Amino acid sequence: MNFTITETEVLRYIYGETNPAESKAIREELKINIALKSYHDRMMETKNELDLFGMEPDETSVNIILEYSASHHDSLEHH
Amino acid sequence: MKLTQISDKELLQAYVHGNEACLEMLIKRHKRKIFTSIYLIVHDTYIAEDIFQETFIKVIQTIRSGKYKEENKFIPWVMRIARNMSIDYFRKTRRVVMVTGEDGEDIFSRLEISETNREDQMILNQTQRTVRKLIQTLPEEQRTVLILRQYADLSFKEIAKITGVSINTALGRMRYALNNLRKMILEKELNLQ
Repeated sequence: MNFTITETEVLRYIYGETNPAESKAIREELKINIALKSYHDRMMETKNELDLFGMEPDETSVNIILEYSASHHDSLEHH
Repeated sequence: MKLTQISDKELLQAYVHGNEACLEMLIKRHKRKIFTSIYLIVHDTYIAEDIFQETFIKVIQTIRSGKYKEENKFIPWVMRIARNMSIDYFRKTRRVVMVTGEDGEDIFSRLEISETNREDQMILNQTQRTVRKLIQTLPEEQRTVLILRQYADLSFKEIAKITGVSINTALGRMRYALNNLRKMILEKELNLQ
C-alpha cells in the first residue's frame, strides 16, 4: 500500500480510525521503524493512563432510566 | 448467546422489539464513557447525573417515536446528545462568558474548567484527581480535542466538523495534547498504574 506513515497515522491507528489496509501497513512499519514504534508505545501508554480517569453514574440514575423505559413500554409497541 | 457477546446494534434492535434488559446492557456497557465526558464538561457530579438521565430519556423517546435512524452509530449518537445537553446547561445557567468565534459561535469557549466542588474532590480518588488536573492544564484547543476523542468517543472527522477545523488540525492538537500530557506525567514522575 502506498501511503506515508507518520506519527499522525499512528495516532489514527491507536484510536481505531484507520481502515484494514492502512492498519496492516502501519503494523508492518512498526516492526521496522524503531522511532515510530517508540512513539506508538508512548502514546498507547499515555492513552491507557487517561483511561484510568473515568467516572460512573450513580446506580440510582441508571435505575431511573430503566424505570422510565419500563413505564413507557407500551408506547414502544405502538410503533 | 450471552448479552455481553451481542453487538450494540443487535441490543438496540432487541430493545426496540421490547427487550428491556438490552437497554440495561447498553447503559452498563457505555455508562462510564458517557458519564465521564459529561462530567468533564460540567464539573459537577449532581448536574452530570441529571444530564446523564436526561440524555437516556431523550434516547428512549427518540427510539420509541420511530425517529432513530443511525443504527450503526448508536453510541456516537448518544454521545452527541450528552454533549449538546451539557453545553445547553451552560447556555441556561450562563455560568461562563460567551465568546463569539469567526463562525459566529465557538461553543467550546464555554467549556471553561471550573473548580470541582469539595464533595466531588472526595469522590474522585487520587489518580483520577491527578489525571483530571493534568488535563486541565492543557491549552483549551488541545483539551477540547482530547476530551471529545478520548472520553466522548467522537472521531477526528466529527471533532473537526464540530470545532470548525480541518482533520489534520484536530489530529495535530491531539498529538500535542498527548505529548504534553506525557511530558507532565514524566516530569511529575507519576506512577498512575
